[in-house]
Amino acid sequence: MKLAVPHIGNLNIMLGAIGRLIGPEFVFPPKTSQRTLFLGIKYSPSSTCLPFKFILGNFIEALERGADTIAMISDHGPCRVGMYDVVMQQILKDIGFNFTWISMDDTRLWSHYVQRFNKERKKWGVSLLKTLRALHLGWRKLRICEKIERLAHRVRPLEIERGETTRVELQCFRLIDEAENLKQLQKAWDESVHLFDRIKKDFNRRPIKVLVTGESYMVINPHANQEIERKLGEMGVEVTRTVWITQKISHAIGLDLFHPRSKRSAIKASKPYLKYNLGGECNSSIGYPILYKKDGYEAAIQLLPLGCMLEAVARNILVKVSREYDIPILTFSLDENLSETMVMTRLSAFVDLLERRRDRGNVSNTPTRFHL
Amino acid sequence: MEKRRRQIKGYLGIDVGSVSTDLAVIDQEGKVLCHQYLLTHGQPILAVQRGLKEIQACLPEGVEICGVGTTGSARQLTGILVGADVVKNEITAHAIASIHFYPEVRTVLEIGGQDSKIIIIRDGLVVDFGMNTVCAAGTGSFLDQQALRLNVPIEAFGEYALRSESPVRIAGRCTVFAESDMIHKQQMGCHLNDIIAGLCEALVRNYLNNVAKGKEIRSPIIFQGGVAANQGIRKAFERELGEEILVPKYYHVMGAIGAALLAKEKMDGVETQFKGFGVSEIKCRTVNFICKDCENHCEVVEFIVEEKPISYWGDRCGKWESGIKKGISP
Repeated sequence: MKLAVPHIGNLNIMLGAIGRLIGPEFVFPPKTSQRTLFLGIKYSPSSTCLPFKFILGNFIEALERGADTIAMISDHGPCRVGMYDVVMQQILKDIGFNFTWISMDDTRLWSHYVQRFNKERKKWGVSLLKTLRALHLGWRKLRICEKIERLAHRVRPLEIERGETTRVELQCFRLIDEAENLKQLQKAWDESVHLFDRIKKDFNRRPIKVLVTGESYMVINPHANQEIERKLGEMGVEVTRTVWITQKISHAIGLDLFHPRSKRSAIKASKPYLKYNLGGECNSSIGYPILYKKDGYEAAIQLLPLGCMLEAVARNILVKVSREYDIPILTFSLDENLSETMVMTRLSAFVDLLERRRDRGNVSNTPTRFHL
Repeated sequence: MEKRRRQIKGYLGIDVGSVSTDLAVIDQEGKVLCHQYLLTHGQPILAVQRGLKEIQACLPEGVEICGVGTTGSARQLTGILVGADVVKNEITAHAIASIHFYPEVRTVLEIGGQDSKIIIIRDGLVVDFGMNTVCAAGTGSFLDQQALRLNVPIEAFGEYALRSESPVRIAGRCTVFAESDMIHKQQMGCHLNDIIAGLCEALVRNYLNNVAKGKEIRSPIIFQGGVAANQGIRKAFERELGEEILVPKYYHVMGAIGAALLAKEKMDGVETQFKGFGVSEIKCRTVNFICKDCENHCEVVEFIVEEKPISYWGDRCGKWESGIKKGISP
């Protein structure tokens, strides 16, 4: 079995680690590029959302590389991801690929997947202990990748030479991907911290803090959101995002009860505006700006793929949130036709707006201090 | 004599948009000394060079340029060409200019050649803005095109609209549909005045439904950009919003004035990087290529002056952009 999964954040680092230790063999599509998008656009119905096009492109490139099985999540909620499953299978078959399709939907119980995985494990002849160890290593790797991303978000606005943080970040991901056990992983983390420490920084700057919220695929993936985090960082803005893969996993299995910035608490914060939980990222997109306002975040940027129904609901409610909580909110409705110039113009206008707001003294501007 | 002549401090603003290139020079108090409006014709470098030549000719005696700001979609290119001190996006530039002329302003409507924006200002501070996304319906280029088709000079477009007594209803959501709707109405025998007035109303409705959606439009409202010359659109806005719409004297060069004001703000005792009006004579061109060093495949633009590359941009990693700093000095 040669299993392919779409690129979602740093998921490939986690799955690669598990795959190398216990299997199955993963065939990752090449890094999402312009070609991926072109392939996706060519074979998708034109009105589907951007994530569909990217993921389909990923699958085509993975099948070209020799994958024979595809794992894809599915949904039964109000989001279009529910139809991804069926439509993609049909499109790929029409192109002429042969593959097995594993659909992971949330109508079945977790125990079903655990049982199924257990059966596979016995077939491979891998002991339970080894399996748990591999899962642990994969999880740790994912956690550390996210830690590095958070670090990069904080360091980038302070960097003196443009692009240095991004280079270091990529180097760190490589180090983590190469680690084979927990000990090496610890070493890779230490090395990463050291590398970040060595970046020349200007500590006199006082970066504006902006929250990136919205639909999960668009928020997690830099290739989908035109690298909005990097662009903002290089304009001198400290960014954080609301969607992380670990957070999504822990939310799905209910392990985020006590986390202060969990999706659960964001949904709760959105209650005054939207009583019914619509699913997807809709409620948390509304709730997170309210939560992060208390942490000193001055503004939020909402990302949605063009035509996303859930986020369109959130978008209109956010107008009210913006007014009541005094948080400027900028919304980007992204599709393949949105030009980079336009994104840059709006981002820089938004940053100007925030800077002038700060000069007026609407916001407390204490210098950020942090140590690695 | 030489000393007395160099007494007035001037600040130059250049706004290079899709359709027009505007230049303005202001003095220390923010008064406009002279301005120029010319068409870009798809060649921003040539347009800027021509504009510089023209503005130099009309500049009052004894003005020294102490700061330069560029804005508009070709701001980066122009900034490198002329040696700008400030390179700013057009939204900020327009807002600054309107606040300068009307400190009380609370809403700015701006319709240019290819884009339209709305800027919400409260207490002299930009609090929100909106911009058209993928559709250029209702911007200057579309009006131009229709004027050409109807054989009406674009300057007279507004007058025709004002003469109408019962504007026809036209679908303004999309330029293609608007055009076929207009043809349909014209073949039905509707009067040209009514069609033009209907088009103005349709464009205003489209603007208010798309760009200004969810924004609080409060007076005083300022209408600027090239399309503000069109009386028909202005009247349609007034009818739709039920408020008076102000059109500033320099409505067509507000972006350039904003850039000049930003330059003035920044150049407090700092030496300008302006390369002088001689820039209009130099030979320069741009070359773009795709960098294949990684999977990003960035489109890098190389700026060549007198056969020497002086600057690069467009790369995500900053390799080209920063490499030049070590290599050749501009």
